[in-house]
Amino acid sequence: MKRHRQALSAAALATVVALGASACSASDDAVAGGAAQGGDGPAVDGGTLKVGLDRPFTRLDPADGTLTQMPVMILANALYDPLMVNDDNGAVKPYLAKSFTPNGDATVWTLQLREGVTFSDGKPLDGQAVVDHVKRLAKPETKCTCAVDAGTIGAMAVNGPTEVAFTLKSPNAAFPSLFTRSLGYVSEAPVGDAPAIGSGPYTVESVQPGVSVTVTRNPAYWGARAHADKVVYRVLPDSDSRYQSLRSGDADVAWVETPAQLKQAAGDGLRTATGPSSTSTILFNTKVAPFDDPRVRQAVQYAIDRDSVEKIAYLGQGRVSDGPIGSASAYRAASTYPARDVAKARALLAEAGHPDLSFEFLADSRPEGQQRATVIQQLLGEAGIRMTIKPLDPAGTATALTQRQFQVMDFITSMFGDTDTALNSLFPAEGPYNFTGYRNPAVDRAIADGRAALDPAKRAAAYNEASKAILADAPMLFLTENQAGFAASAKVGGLPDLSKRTVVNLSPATLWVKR
Amino acid sequence: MTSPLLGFAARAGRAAAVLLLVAVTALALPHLMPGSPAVAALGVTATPEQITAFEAGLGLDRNVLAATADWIGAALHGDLGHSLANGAAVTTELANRIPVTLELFVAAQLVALAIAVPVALVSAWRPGGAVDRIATAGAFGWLAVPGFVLGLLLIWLTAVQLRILPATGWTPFTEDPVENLRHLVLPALTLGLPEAAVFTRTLRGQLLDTLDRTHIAAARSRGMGTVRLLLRRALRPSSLPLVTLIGIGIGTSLGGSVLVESLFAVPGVGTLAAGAINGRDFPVIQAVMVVCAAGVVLATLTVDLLYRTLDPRIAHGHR
Repeated sequence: MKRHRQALSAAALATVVALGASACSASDDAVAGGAAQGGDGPAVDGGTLKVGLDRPFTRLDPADGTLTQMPVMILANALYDPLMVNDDNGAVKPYLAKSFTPNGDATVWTLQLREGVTFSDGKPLDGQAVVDHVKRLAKPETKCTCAVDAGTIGAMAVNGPTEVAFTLKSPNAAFPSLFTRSLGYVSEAPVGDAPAIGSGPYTVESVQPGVSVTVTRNPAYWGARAHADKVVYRVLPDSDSRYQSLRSGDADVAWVETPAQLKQAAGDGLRTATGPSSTSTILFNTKVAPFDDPRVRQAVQYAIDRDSVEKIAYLGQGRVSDGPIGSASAYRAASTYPARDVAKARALLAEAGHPDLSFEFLADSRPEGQQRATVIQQLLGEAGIRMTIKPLDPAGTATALTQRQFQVMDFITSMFGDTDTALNSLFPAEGPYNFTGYRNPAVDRAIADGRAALDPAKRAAAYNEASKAILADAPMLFLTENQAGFAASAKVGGLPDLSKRTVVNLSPATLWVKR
Repeated sequence: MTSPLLGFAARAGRAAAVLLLVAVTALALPHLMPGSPAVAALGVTATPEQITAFEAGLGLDRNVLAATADWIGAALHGDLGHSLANGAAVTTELANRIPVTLELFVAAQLVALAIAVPVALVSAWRPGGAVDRIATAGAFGWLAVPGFVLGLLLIWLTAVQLRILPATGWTPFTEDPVENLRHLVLPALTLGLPEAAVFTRTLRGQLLDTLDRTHIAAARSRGMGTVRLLLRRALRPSSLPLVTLIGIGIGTSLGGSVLVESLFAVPGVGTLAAGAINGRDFPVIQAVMVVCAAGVVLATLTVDLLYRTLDPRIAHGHR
């Protein structure tokens, strides 16, 4: 009976995935997101689209972590096609794949590729190319962070030109979601310093590492022709001058996540395509006192008013976060996040023997990070908790996280855009991103059950059980879900509606420059 | 009197010692700075084995002095190592970016001098006059405005409101000289305007001192015209501190250019240094440190030599 139910579930999921493929041809805006925002008039072909990137890319290779971060995926999508894409409300649907179907217990997944797809050099993008790509990224010398995901694959078999079977080491009902970024951007191995060749709508014309890259339309593209003849990407690391570049016309599209800029964009004649794609959280080091005591963590949880953080630090541009299952996730249930209660916070601290709690808070060194930390500091002060703020740059942050060199730490992440990945990475005792050192066997079990459940309802139930326990144990506090995405000048057409996207992903091929 | 050759050799020796000290400090950086280069390069999922292998590759398991000796040996052959971020040769990366930063530096100095020299001359000729009072207030005003605020104000005014200059970006001179100059204007103004304030104050003070000297009074009594007097008799002896300031500026401009280059997305040494520091790309940080130190040392030596040309009394040991 159980097997029968699993088979039905698998069939249902396969149908959903396959339907996704038919509903989304490569000619539409599958990578970009939903339908265009409208009011743009007919699409215009030709011209050059100028994109401002917020960070320098290092290598043009899907193995490079920078290239597959949300703000830079607008470059990755020019050169590579993903096998799967993130859709509204955290769903995953096929793109380069035609379908991705599991067996009865989600241990074997069969990928069907679109037919007739070629790399930009004319070589076929077939099953063998997918296997070669995954094998390359799994190698330690490739330095891909996705090697952890590739490590969950036990074996791969090419069953014909367009079919690959993945046998997993353990069940994973959300396996296709691993193919939305690095593992999914199928590419040929790069030769020397040359960019890795992909099957995307554009090919590289010139590149100056860390500075700019120009791409031109791929004449042999298998899908619909991109609108702009060329796309010029320039690295504009300063958020203020990047925004001003949009206003002055030096850039047509650029990444924006600063609340003040999002708020004033419309008034400055800019359009935005943003989604609830990042979550502000606080991490506790649960391995050392006093935060090895759940009561101390809970006291901090009770002392923080998430509404105040959202209103002051994010200017009302986002919303409060209710836990590890995001507001746009299909798994979301009623919130169990405790309301602010300063008296209870004081009582818990007294009970735990820390009535005069003080600690160091590592915060993002950018102005927004410091402002957020100051708000938290003031809120905690009302509960008698003394917090000192220590700013950290990105490299210092990475070290503090991995070597757990912190007491309490600011942590802004886009991981909660994909509930399966977030839960499986951050909270299990052996999770690859378990920065807090949290350990709760019941949570591990619930997450594992959810990961193995092909039935979405069962998976949601298991994940919510885990979420409830995580909120109670408070190894991590959830503050706000923040808007981030792209702003574009008025002359850009085809900007999609990404408001339901937890992973903001835009393809330059769908955009055009009005004349 | 010390022989000029011996004096130069002593200066060169001191310069080499400074560079050696900078190189040792730069090579010791990975041991001293917070933040693991291995984690920054390999990501947070790197295994302990990967981190150990990576650190060994970077020479972090070796004595700093031995690593420095090897680095200097390779550097003397033009090999400054490879970037941890993208594997590119650091020598090539610097060779591409130094001309950009130098062009920006020279343009900023020209902006500063073009403003400072005439304003200081007029201020010193009529101290307490309208020009002097405005220049004094303006100089303090410029000095009080942080570089990034000035840069953003200039972008807002010229790129957003007037749309006469590009807000950000860079075009190499060899590609399009006109576009190169258009992209150069705003960063050069942002770096040059605060320097103009310093130059003006320094030159004005020096000119006031010079104008009190007897040779100026003698020239005046002979009926020499004001403009000629200021340019021929007063400016040259008063300009020595400016030469020093420009020389020192070569070193300090890197600090300013990190900010200005990042703000205007200029692909110079400043943005290279900023990216390398954020990513703990130590081979790049080390090379930038040593090359900039070499720039400062070279500039100091040049200033010494220029002093002798501008004021022959120094060469003859009278001053």
